This record gives sequence, structure tokens and C-alpha cells, in this order.
Amino acid sequence: MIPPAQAGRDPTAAVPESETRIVRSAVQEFRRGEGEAFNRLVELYQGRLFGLVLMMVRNPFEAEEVTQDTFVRAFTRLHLYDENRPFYPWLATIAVRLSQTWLRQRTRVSARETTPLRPEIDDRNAGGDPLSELIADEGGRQLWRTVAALPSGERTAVFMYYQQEMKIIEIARALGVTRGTIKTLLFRARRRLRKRMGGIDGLGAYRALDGEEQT
Amino acid sequence: MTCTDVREIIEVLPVTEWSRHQRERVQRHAHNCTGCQSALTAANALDSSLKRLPQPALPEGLAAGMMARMARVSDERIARETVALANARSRTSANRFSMSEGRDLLAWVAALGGIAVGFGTQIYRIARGSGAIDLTSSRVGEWGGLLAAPDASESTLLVAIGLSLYFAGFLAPLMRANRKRDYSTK
Repeated sequence: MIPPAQAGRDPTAAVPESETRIVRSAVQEFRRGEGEAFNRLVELYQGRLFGLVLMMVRNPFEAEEVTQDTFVRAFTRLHLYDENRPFYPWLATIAVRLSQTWLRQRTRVSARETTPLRPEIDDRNAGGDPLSELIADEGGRQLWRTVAALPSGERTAVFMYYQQEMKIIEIARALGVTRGTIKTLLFRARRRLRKRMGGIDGLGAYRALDGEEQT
Repeated sequence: MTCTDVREIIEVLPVTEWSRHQRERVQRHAHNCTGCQSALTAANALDSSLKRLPQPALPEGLAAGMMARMARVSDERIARETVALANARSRTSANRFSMSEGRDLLAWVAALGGIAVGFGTQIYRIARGSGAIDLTSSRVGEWGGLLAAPDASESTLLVAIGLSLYFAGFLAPLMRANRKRDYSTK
């Protein structure tokens, strides 16, 4: 059984009608000078955006900061948003840029101090496992960790594609790369994940296929 | 289509990204090939698992912190706009004041005086009969009668004074602006 195709869809088809309506009215009210209207956008997207940032920076405390920065930046630059395009990819683009900046800064600090900063260590330093407070389900947590262990570009592409249901072109725009690069990132990520997620029903077949003679 | 081709399609892209043509080919092949059928099932399982990636709960205080920061930004922006507006207003009133400053006033008086003296001289010449608008004998053109240099007389001196004052009136503000620029670069 092959699931339905995703390619060639209408760009706004993935966005529910109610969401589009909320965004449009909030943006228009905000532009008329009603600053409170932006709160509706925050309420609508804060969970989704926090998830993306957390997957990128892998540190709940920093993710909180970057999420706030993202909304503040969107708040000050909402006049640049094109209403004919879906709102979330625009917001996600800001989040990705800020997360990348944070990651670069962390790499610089890490190189300067010659201390390997790994998310697990950061978590331990903070006391307890912050992820368990954010994802209650053990299976979900395990899946999250598996994806979070991928290299930066791959985990971002996977998360945006599967969890956030963004289209390849939207992910490419957000990351500032071509569609081909996103396809490559997804290919590499899936190849890695197939090896790491062998326990998932059906995925064991891949292991068997690796050694199988092809017809 | 061989198993290698099918596995390549299965591995390279998520199932939902396949073209219609690829889907038909894979489905047709997998129908008769147990190995590829398993690979397809596994690919579907992987995609389904990834779609179940959880959305983490929001940390406590995130929303409140965000609202507070945005309120701060909003206040700062209003304050900035107010300051900018006040600056713009003070600049306008400063300009108005500078227009009435002695030197500028002098420049304007000189410019207007120059024009008045120049034209007055011409009119005086015409009234005296020593000058006339003579379109037929004009040296410059049809309006040359007005522009033609007067004969050597007292009116020549008056025109010269008038023109000097006129140009001095224009040059004075320019010189002042240059002086200001010099100060600002020091």
C-alpha cells in the first residue's frame, strides 16, 4: 500500500482554512495598529515553533530563548510578511536563522573553551532530564532522541518534513538551500534512521534486504 | 524494472514524494516481489514513525515571557517613534527659526533686492526712452529687448549692482551650508 502523493499540491492546501483565516485577520489587525492581534499568532504557533527550535538547538532552555527571539523578530518585521504566502514557513525561516546563529555561536564557544558541549551533558548540568518534562510518552521521547542525534541539517529537514508537514520547497527556502539539497538531506537521514530504528515494525525488513541477493 | 531500481526509488525519497509514474512502477513490481514488498512496507513504517514525532509541551512561563518581551519591544517602539516624531518637529521648527535668522534674512533681502534693482533699471530705461522692447532689432532674439545690455549710462551701473546683490543672495546660504558641513566633519 502506497500513501497518497504530496508533490504538486496547491501551496496553501496544507494550511487549514481556519488557520489561514486567523492569520489573515490577525495580520491585518496588527497592521492597523492593534498590537494585541499578534498574541493570536503566538498562541497559534508557539507550540509548533518551540518544537522546531528544540529539535535544532537540542537544549530546552536555549530553545525557549530562541523561540522568544523568533516571535519578537516576527513582531518587529511583520510588515515584511507577504500575506499571499502561508505564515508558518515565514516564521519557521526566522526560527531556523536564529537557531543556526545560536548553533554557530555555541560551536565557537565550544572550540574556544575546548570543552565538548553535548546536549546530554547540558541536560545533566541543568539537573534531571528536561526532555521528560516536555515529552511525557517514553516511545515518543525515544523517537525524538533518535532524530535529534542526526546531524543538524538532517534532523531539521526530517522534523520540518515529517512532524511539521512542510513541503520540500518551503524547507529549502527556510534553510536557504536548494530543493535538491533537502532531498539529499532526507535521503541521508532516512538511511541513518533505518539503521538506528531497526526495532520498529517493518523496518527490520531493511536489514534482511541488505544481505539479500537482488533479482 | 529490477529490484535495484525499485529499492533505489524506495530509499531515495519519502514515499509521499514519488511521482505517479514511480508509484505505479513500484506497486506493479512489489505485487510480484516479496523482497521489494517488504522494503516498501519498511519504508512506509519509517515514514509513519517519523510522522508520529511528538510535539513537546511548552515550558512553563514561555508564553508569559514572550508576551512580556513583546510588550517591552512595543513600548520601546512607541517611545522611539515618539522621540523620532519630536525630533522631526523640532527640526522643522529649527528650520523655520533659521529661515528668520539674520543672515538668511539678509540673503533673501539681497536676492529680492537684486531682482528689484535689475528690473527697476530696465523699467527706468524704458520710461526714460533710452531703452525699449524692440523686437525687430533684438540682438538675442524676440525677447532680446529685455535682455539686451544697456548702452553706457547710469543704468548700466544699477544693473551691475542689482545682479551682484542677486547672486550674493544665492551664494550666501550655500556658503553657510558648506561651513556647517566642515564643522560636522571635524
